[in-house]
Amino acid sequence: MLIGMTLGVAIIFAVDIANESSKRAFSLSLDAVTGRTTHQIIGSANGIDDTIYTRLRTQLGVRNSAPVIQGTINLIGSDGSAEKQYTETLQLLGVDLFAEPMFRNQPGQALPKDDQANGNVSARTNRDSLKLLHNGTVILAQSTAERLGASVGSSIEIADSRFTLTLISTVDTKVQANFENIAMVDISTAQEVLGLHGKLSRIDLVLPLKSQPAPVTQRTKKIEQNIEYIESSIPGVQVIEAARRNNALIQMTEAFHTNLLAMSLLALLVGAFLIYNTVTLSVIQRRTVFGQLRVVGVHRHELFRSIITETLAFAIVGTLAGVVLGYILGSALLTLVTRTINDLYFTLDVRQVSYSVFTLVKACGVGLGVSLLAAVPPALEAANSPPVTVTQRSSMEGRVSKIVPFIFMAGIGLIGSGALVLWISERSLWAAFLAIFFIVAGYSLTIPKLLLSLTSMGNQKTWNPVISYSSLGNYPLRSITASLSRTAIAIAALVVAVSATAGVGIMIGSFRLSVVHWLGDALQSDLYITSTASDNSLPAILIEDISTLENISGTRQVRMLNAETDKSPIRLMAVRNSGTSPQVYSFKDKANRPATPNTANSIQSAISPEARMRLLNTTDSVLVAEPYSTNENIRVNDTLKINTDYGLKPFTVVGVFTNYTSGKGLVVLSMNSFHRYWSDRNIDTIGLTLSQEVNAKDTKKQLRGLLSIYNDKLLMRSNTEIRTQSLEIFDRTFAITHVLRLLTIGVAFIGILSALMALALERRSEYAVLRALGTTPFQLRQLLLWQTGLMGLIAGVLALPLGIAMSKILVSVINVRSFGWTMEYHIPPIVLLESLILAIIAALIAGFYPAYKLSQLSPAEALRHQ
Amino acid sequence: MSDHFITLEQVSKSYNAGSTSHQVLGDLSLNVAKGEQVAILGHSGCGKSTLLNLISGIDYVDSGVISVANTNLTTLSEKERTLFRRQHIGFIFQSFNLIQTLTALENIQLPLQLNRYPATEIEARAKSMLTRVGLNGRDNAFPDQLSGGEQQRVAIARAMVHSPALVLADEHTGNLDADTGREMIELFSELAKSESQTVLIVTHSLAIAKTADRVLRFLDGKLIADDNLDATDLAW
Repeated sequence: MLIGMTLGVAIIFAVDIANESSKRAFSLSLDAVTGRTTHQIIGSANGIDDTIYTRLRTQLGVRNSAPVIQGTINLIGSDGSAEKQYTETLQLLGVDLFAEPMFRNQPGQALPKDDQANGNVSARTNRDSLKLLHNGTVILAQSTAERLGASVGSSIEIADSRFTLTLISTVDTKVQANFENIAMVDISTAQEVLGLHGKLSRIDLVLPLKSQPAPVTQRTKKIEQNIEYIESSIPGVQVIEAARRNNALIQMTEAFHTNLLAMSLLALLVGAFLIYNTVTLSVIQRRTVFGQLRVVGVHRHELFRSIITETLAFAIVGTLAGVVLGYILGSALLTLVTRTINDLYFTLDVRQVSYSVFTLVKACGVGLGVSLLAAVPPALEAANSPPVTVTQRSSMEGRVSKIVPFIFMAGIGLIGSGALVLWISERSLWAAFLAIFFIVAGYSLTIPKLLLSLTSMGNQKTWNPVISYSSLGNYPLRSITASLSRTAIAIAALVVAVSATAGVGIMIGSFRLSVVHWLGDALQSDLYITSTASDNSLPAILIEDISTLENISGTRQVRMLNAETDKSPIRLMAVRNSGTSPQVYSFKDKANRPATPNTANSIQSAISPEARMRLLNTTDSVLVAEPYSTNENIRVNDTLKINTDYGLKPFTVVGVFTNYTSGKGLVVLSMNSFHRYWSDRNIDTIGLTLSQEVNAKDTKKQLRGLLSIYNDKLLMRSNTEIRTQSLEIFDRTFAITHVLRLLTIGVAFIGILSALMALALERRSEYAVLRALGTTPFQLRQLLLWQTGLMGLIAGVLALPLGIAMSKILVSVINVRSFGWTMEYHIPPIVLLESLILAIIAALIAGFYPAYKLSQLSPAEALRHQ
Repeated sequence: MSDHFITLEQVSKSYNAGSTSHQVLGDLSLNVAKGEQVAILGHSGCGKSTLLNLISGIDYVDSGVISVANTNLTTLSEKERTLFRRQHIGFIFQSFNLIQTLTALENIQLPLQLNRYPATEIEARAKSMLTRVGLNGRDNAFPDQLSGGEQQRVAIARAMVHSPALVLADEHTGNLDADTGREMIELFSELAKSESQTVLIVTHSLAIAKTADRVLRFLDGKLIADDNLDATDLAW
């Protein structure tokens, strides 16, 4: 019983703390780079000119402002030996020390309470901080410095860069937790390291001043005036609320965390099943003892109290052990969660496992609550039955059989409610998860009835092909239904776990297939050349050199930058195709909004891809990636305002295309439009289409020679390499789901094991009779394995419809509502077969130990104690 | 080769209860002829059931030799004893011990299935046996749908359906009323005689013991009398 409770609580707690720790780190990371900032001045995709900051302070008199440069760097550390090098990815935060006090406090000192709550990173001008003014100096978290093997005064190399940084001070993360992911440098150092000479990522503002307390309405008015003043005085900049910008980032990861939470709910359901099963079994298997106690005069209230007290005592121990095990498991899961967030959204390095009181209370509450709830029915049943019948197990099974039709109807009702919730909720992710929960819980309630129906087919000889191999005929099959109160629960737990595996498996399979097709469409060039330089741009001369090569039939030039819009930040991709560079977009016609006569570039819904591309190349128009279209509700014919070097400019959406990249929304425009509104002339990727008649190897060799003169700053990859790498990242992203699915199966496995152990114990005398009739120990082992194999087979068969239903909801509803991705729905038969085999194998493995114990049974002793 | 169907030579058996050992049978020697119906009479705890368990090979001796049908059980492995029991011995228990999840017919079929009889023969033999014990038409009744007497009929049929040479009955009328008990004894005796089966019946009832050819009286693990009941029943 303890193992069951411990595992149930552990899985719930583990998923929760992995989720919560990564969320906390993400939130601290955001806070660290935002601080007390209320507003931010942002520019176009290339950042803003640092002269604007000078102008802001000197000419416009906006004193409460601080320039910031933000980027990502990889620091190289070692444990002292030259062989073992270690890379740590950190957020590089470049700040101006003289402007900072208003925004972020002093490193190493405990923050005032409100600042701790806000998680502000400090940089007040104390002696250590002043050393930051020396070029190439850095302040790191103490724990980060220790991991890198760096001490104050030592130099730290930056990966893929000629720069090194000198560590001048460390910050204790116990005092300032949000410093964990940060490398703080002076603004000039940041500009050098990131290659952003003369540029700033943004200017932070605190509006209004703290020294001007005013009523809310007046304060709002003052802010608006300030914003208007800055925007009208400096063309090309936009003032946005810091919280709004952070919210956009938070929303991006929120869907991922919600999905994890759903997995934890699934774990909770299976964990609750397990706890319920084990507690019920522990009570039921001692019915004889309880009957004897009633016979000798123990009152029903006393019996009830003692069962509940005992369960509570076990629950407390099991829950505490579960919390400890969950903490260990959660730490391991955290690595996977962090990796997925890094792959999908944001550079994050989570070192600290954290959990809230709520998480702890939730795990403990489930452990204790479900244990007690599970104990109440059998305890009541044992306490309220007359002494003679307490000792008869058949009385319990008799009652269970009577309520099976009602449980079935309740299950159907829940499934119906789930379908209704799904139908009436339009975009709510929570409603979708609630619907799945209803459907799964409802289906679980139908299991006893379905189990009875399936096994009764044995009477109609349907099971003959299966049971004819059993030396005891119908016995294994009948035993399953004879102990319905426990076998049904064990099978239900396995059904839920296996259906989740099948459902998620089908979803991942469908997703992977869609990604493979999308990569096939998107990666039409044969070779891609990218820059690893800090500003990502390719040398202009290289582009000219490449265009002169004879074996190239087409090129595709791309410039990728971050940009702001009137909605949320985007990743802007400017493209120029030349030669025979093929069409790479798969358009989503469903995203078309009816054309309006007033829209200059309005297009009809059935427009061809070629016409869309023509509009893209000739007008101020953009293509929008499907996730951005879904999340921001932007359709074809809508207008999207993008912050250009000349301020906010409107662009008509002429197409919504399939895209499975994550993070910020991707928006595509033609290079002509880009050059019209941005002064940036750099190219960061060039795709090359090779002439069909040429030898690819020779061309690659030729290109490698051409690239070698750029000192390893350029990278050439074939589309096959990119495709392979993309699919590797895809598979890594879903590693967390594999682990959670395995954990869920593990919990269900323990459920089956405990049910079989109890069955073996209860049926001891029956097995002794079989031994007396001439059943060998080996046959008895076989018998139990037959039984458990049949349970697995039934669970596997029953899991398939639920798995398919779950996968359909995951693909068509959850993914669309979470990430804005629609995908092809594909059921790989192998996933169904795997699920079936998984159920049988999990059940069979669970049967080994009880079967072994059974084969050790002494029939003489069992019969003597009858 | 011995003329006796069952031979026990200086058989001893003890059970451990905690740190103390309790001798159930001590230096017991006896013989039973083929086709003989023997009643084992004694109070609770005198070693009657243990004797059946040893003769059936369910339990093993501490010392001594047990032979059944010229097979020395004490030299056989657990598996060999089980296979021997399956083929040559039928068992009837006081509390019927029918498998609750199987029908009357399926319960009777069990020994035939274990002995790998052909499917058609399993069906025919089991149905015929069900008719012989007077339960024709109750094929599909589960044990909890049968009365005590009917359950014991099924148990008798199950013990004899594969025509074992030896049938062991352990207080097989203990849970039945007097009339039903008598009915069962007659049925059992008649079936055993028709097949020339050797029968050992454990009982503490003089009335049942009277129906046997021979009575063995046990007291505290010792055989204290081995004779015809008529000569000794007054002394008991």
